[in-house]
Amino acid sequence: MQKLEYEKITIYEVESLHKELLEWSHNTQELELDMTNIQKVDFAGVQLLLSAHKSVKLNMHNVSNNVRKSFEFAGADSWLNGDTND
Amino acid sequence: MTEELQLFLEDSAEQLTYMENALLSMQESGINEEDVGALFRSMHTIKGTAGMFGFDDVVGFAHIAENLLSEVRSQKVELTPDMIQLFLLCKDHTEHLIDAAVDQTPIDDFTRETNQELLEQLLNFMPGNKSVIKNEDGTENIVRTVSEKKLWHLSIEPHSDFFNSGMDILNILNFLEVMGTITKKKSYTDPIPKLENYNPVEAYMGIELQIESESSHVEIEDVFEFILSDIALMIIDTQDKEGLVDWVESIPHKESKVKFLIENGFFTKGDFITVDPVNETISLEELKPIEETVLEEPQISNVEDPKISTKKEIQKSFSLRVDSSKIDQLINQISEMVIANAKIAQRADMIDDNDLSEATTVMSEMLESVRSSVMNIRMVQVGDTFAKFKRIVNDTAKKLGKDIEFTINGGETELDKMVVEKISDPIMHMLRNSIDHGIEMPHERVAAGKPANGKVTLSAYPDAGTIVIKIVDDGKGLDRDRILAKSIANGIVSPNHNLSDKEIFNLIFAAGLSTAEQVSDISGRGVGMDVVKRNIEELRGTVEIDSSKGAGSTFTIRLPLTLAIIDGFLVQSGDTKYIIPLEMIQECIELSAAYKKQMKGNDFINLRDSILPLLDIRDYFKESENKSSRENVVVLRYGDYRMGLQVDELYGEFQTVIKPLGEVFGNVTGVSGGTVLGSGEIALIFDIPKLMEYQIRNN
Repeated sequence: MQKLEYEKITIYEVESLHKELLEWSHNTQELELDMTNIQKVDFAGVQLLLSAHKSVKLNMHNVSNNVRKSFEFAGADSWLNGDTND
Repeated sequence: MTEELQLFLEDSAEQLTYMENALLSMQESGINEEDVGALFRSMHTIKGTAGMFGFDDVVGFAHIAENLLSEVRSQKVELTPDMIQLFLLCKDHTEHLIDAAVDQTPIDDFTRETNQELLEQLLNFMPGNKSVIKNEDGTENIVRTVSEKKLWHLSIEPHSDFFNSGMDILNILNFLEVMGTITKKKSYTDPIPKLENYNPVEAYMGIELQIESESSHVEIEDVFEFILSDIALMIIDTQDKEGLVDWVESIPHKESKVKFLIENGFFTKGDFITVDPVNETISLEELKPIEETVLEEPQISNVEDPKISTKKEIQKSFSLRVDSSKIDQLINQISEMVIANAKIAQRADMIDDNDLSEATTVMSEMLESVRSSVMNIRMVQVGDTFAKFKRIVNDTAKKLGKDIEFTINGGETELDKMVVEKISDPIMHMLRNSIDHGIEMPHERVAAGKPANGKVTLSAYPDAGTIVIKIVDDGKGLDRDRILAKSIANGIVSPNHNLSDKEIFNLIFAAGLSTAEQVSDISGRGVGMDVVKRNIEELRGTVEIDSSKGAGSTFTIRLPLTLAIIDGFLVQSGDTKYIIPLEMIQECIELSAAYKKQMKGNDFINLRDSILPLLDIRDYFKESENKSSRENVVVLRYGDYRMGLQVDELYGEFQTVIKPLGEVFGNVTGVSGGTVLGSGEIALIFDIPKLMEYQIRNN
């Protein structure tokens, strides 16, 4: 399980997160992400996470309500897996 | 400008012309199904193609106009004369929107205001109630409150550089929920690459959603106002199957999108079956293969009679669009062939080989035939261009409060396309002049014993190798004394002149002259007529005016049939060979000793009991003395004028290509071009109108 230290995933964080995701998804079929710290995700963030989901099976844990809403706005909530801890 | 944009511009211009023609036709002869259909189709086509280029302002406006036209077409709304005027304004406004979009200039305030006003008026005609909602910031939104809600489908596809805009789509999608109930939403993730090919600052993902809302298309679009230029947005009424198909046809990844839409329950397979293939797909298909080049004329086969082409035929008949520079090149090449052939023919004559001479004759005939065909490609009927003047006369007359009956004669007369285009502005100027300064106000006319409605006639007909275009009005005519006074005051004419009335009238073409009491914004600014004359002269044409006080004025324009090749008559004066345009020649006579005696040193002869003024070329061009023993007079006619050109030797008919003389010769009056003879010599081509002018002025 990789715990994300970012507070949010927006256009400003996606470049560095992309590098990390590439590293973590190397040689693996499934990736667990702990999203406890993430308060907010924007369109660029949703898109990045969806790209990750295309490369490996992405399981997101402890997704905050706010982040969940963002996925909903983008019409991508069906990709949300894992628990939601409110 | 890219080729695609150029094509879009041309296509839109064409559609707008169809619109205007349909509207004017209905204004004159009443509402009919065919014209309404044409109106709708034009607006629909413009909306579709503008959408392809992402010209959202155009799309937004066209959509509302098209909606109203759709109601008219299904006879839910009646097309009234007021509406026709409104649609004429809408046509103009659409033109402005298109120009701004193509030039990539933002819409100015005036156009924005006009946009709102026209939209309001269009919505007023729509069935259903409307109300105006005032926003907090003082702007207004026009809301159509209809009792039924519509299900809209929205397709939002950010451009790949969307993130540069600094906006977050999610906020906007959030706000969208205020507009109605979102029934379905799915992110279109197909374009997203896997991590290793993923560029984190590039936007790939799209969003498809459907929302049930009472709001109008414009209102929904307004939600996306700040990111409109960074996304590809499509808002379609889910009932609008035609619109759906059009949209889907226009996107590059249409198969995967359609699959996505069907799989996710947005639409069914049946929704994508093309309706009315003839109209919908043809206009888009024509735009796709942009590399193909095609002819400009509506029909090229000589099987159809060009006089009967109806609007429908123009839209459906097989036509090609060709870059006109390709035709120019073709004409050039054929011209060179004509010159090269002349050389061969000359040599053949010298060798005195019959077979060879015969072969060259055949060759010359074939060249002539090909030349004729190519020149014909460029010929268009003037009627096509003249038709648009109807609108201008209509509007100008209305603006000035005058009642004008405008007739066009001889629309089937053909002229070189470029000439037609260049003559358009001068004609417009002269028409405006007739309407503004010629035709009087209705009450003035009645007081003068004339009918209240003024008549303006535009005619075109061929005459002796030229095309004549006449603009006749039955207005108050030119004020000879005023023109004279103004000319003397401006130093154009000396006080002790001896100009005829006709010459005085033609002073209006002199620069810096305007006798209009008030310079109206339509004409008469004093920079008009001289520019008009110059433009016409650039086409090797002439323009004159004749007038009769109280009865009216007539503008007469003469234009040569072609610009490139001339049928001429070769003559010599002194050392120089000259060419005279064949069409202007009436006859040739030998200047015998008898005639010479008769002249008694004057420069005219008595030809069959009428005076023929002579112009001695040797004098005029300061030629050397006569190399041959003969002297001849070539009798010329140009319009109403006759003149004899005194030359030495006559050689005979000669067809050749006009080559422009360089700038060095630009100011030589009397010569309009040159040509290369078979022998390699240069012959100069006379500018007969100018020579006549000189002759008249100096005698």
